[in-house]
Amino acid sequence: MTDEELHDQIERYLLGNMPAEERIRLETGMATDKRLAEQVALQQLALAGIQRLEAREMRKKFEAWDKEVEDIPNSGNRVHYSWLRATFVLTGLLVFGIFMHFNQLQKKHREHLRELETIATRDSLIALLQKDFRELSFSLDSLSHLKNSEKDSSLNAKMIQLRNQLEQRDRILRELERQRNTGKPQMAMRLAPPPVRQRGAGDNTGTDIAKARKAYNEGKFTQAVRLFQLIPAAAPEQAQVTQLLPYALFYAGMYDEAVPAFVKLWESDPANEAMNAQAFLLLCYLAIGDKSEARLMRMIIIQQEDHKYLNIAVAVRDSI
Amino acid sequence: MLKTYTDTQIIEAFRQGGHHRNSAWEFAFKMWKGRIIGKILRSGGTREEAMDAMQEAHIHFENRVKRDDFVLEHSLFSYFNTCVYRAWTSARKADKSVLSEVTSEKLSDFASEVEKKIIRGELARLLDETVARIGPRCQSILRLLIQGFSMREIAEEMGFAGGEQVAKNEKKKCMDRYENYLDENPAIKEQLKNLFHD
Repeated sequence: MTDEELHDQIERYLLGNMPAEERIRLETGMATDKRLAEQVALQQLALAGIQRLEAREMRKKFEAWDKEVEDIPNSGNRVHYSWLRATFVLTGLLVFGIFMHFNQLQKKHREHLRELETIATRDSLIALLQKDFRELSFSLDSLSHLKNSEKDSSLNAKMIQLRNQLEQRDRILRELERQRNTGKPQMAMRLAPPPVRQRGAGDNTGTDIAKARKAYNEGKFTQAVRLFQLIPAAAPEQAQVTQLLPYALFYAGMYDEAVPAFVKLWESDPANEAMNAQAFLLLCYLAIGDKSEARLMRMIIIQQEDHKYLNIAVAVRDSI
Repeated sequence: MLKTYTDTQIIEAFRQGGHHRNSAWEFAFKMWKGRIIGKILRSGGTREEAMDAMQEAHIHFENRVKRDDFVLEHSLFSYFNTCVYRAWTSARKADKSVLSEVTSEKLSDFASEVEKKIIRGELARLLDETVARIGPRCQSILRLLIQGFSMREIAEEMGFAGGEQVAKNEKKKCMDRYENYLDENPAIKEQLKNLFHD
């Protein structure tokens, strides 16, 4: 065998291209022939170096194929699809946000129109009632100026009826005019913290104060007010009345009466009740339309950075 | 368009070598890499480690598959997956032996592991330097030989006008150049032989 033939044979052996039978023969020869074993080791070294080089080149091919797999249309579509989906979601959110914004604007506009309509209805009602009131007054005056001899029982009855009607018109007119003074009772109630029902709970003795507290806890504020007011001024329970009555008055919608009650509460326990009283006073003034007092109370609250009802003062800014 | 292969066709393509072999590898890699990388990721490895392991394992895998006594027991994918996973775990083990805490009882084992790793690294670098001495042209010819290209194909790839015989001569010259260098540097030769002895 020539050197070249031996070289090729070893090469085939090292590259795994040799049939099993020939391979066994060569391996047996290597065990006995030192020169052959030396030549195999030498070529093995050369091929091992090239194999390392080839492995690095193969790695580059792996990386390139890996990239190709990532770039094939399916994967591309997936990437594209996720972007597309994100875009759709964001666009959807944007459209939804715009829709909600305009919906809110429309709602506010409708509320405003309704308010204007209410004001217009109330104003026209006031005008009609005033006209009616004047006519009734004129009629009553005319009847009053009649001589006694001319007044029979039916005329007296008519006068009584006119007086009743006048009183009724007067009451309605006063209420409507009070409302026209831009009082915002609904807003005040909406902004107010929910009633703390636990106040004075747990007493079932059947006394007035217990009944009042029970009514208060059950949300029957008008009844609670009536019961609180039954308690004598000198009674030891007055301290509880001072504590609860202002809130009962407020939640019963009796804002006028609630004002002095809250002032009293503030004075009685400034350390604990000042902030509560200030906030509820602001809401009472808002409800009854006393803007100057409301602004003053709002200033007092705003000046206290740690005021627990600062949010209420902020919320009423445009309303007073 | 990616050509598809069955396991038998892949084995046949590896044995044929050259472009058949490269095309089969492209198919195999693209089909298998997701599952192989996934397995290593699930085992706490990284994508880079998986690629390193594939680089390391593919030589042994291909050499083994090419042999006429190779018996396919399950599937080629399972076999390659096992080769890659073993390569990854042994690389991890080697790294762990350097990084993990050493107890006094295991100090000598630890020292010999580290020494072995360092020596193997140094020998591999020495081998790379030796191969670099034969020049890029020879490297290309021998790489084609490793990839299983025939002499006629090597002549075509390298653009040898004289065809197969010229390719044969060139290859011989390259191998001689390498062997001569080692003969002239027996110390390096002896050191490099240790690469094949653990």
